[in-house]
Amino acid sequence: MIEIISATALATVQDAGRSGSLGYGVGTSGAMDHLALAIGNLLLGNPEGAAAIEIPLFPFEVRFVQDCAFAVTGAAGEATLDGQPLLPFWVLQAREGQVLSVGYPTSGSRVYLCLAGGVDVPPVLGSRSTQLRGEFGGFEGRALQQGDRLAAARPGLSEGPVDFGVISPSQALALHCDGVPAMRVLPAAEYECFVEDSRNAFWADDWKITGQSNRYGYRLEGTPILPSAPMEIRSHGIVPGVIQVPHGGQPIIQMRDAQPSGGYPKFGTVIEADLWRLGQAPVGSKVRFIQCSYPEALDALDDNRRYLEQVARLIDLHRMAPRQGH
Amino acid sequence: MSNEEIRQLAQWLSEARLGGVELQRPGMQLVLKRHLESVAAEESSDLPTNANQVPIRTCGLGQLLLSHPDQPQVLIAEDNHVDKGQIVALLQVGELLLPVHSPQAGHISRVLLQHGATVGYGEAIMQLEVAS
Repeated sequence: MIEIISATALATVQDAGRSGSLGYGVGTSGAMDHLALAIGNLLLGNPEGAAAIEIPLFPFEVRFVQDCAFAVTGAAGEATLDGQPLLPFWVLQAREGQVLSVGYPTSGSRVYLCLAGGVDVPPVLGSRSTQLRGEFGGFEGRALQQGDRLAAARPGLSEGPVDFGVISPSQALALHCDGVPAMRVLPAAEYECFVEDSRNAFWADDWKITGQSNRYGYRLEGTPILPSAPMEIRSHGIVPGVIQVPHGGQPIIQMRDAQPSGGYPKFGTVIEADLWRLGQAPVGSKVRFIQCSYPEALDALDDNRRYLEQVARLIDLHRMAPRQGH
Repeated sequence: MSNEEIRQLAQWLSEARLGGVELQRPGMQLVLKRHLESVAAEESSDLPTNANQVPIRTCGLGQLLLSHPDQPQVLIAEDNHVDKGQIVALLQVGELLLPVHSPQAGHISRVLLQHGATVGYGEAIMQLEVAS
């Protein structure tokens, strides 16, 4: 059990997402950085789909109401447990009464607080993710507030190893273009309907993540993307990652809390394997896009999977090693 | 694992000046330890033997990191104060990062090895000066 003691807004309970309900008009939700959530669960020996707390605003503080092992993953920054520094992507045993404080990230934008066994909230439509628009799932269907108390599914003293970490996804799966964080994009249905100069500029220029960016979507700022002729299309199904171009030519990328349908022309789609990179791109930062093919998009998913499998294998070996007493 | 592979491992240990290796897999355990005197002879012999000077040793083998890969600053520098149990370095084994804790409070009088060095079990990486 933990108690939220900071007053910062918009922290939510998220798991790997609510798949299979788009047909009812229910978006996927889920962690903006899937890999950080997956690593946190591996560090704690949690089930793959266990839920964690996604923290987008800082400083964030919780008090452990009882002993509980926890992991902090995602954006790297200053985190402390009772004033003692905590390293990024690290698992530790907290004792009753200790206070975890997560400061502003120095790289990345979202931190995940994972608890032993996962955050224990009831699943709704097969997921523990918070559906903010529908006000269900997660913790009472809303963002966390000061005084909220959340239970861990496996509190107490950890039987597995604690006090170790792993190399972060941003190190292990680094992707940059001219020194700028990059994401791979598949051209989408209306790609050819935009003028050639715009298409070329999209791949060649930096794009700024504007302040109007959140779990619903990211609004980008850069060289406007212009259509060859005005386009009016009917609303259709969309998924996280879709890059839409409204009038004015400044693109919107749909993110995890996106509504399941939209009517703007689709320029491209950030591939599933790279959505976590966008989830960690801070407001005000610049990103680049790299054109890729469908087979390359699948290979990228394989790269992510291999990294997670390698981490899982090493953690299993570490679990078998004789424990050192302190 | 064949004898040939074990001989190769022993050769690598010798070349890397590592004290030993322990391999565990399901159904298999292999422990190789080199003769202690030959290992000790290779260690820097100019460490002061003052009772106030305590070496901080590695708890396993891997690549020594003096800073976390996601953080620019070193975990600890020479002349810095450390608390008992504080993490002073990391051992990287593949994607895994294992902590090296200070055994006592004191301050770091010398950092003996470089960031990125390959280290064996029980190798001294820092010299800790403790209050007498």
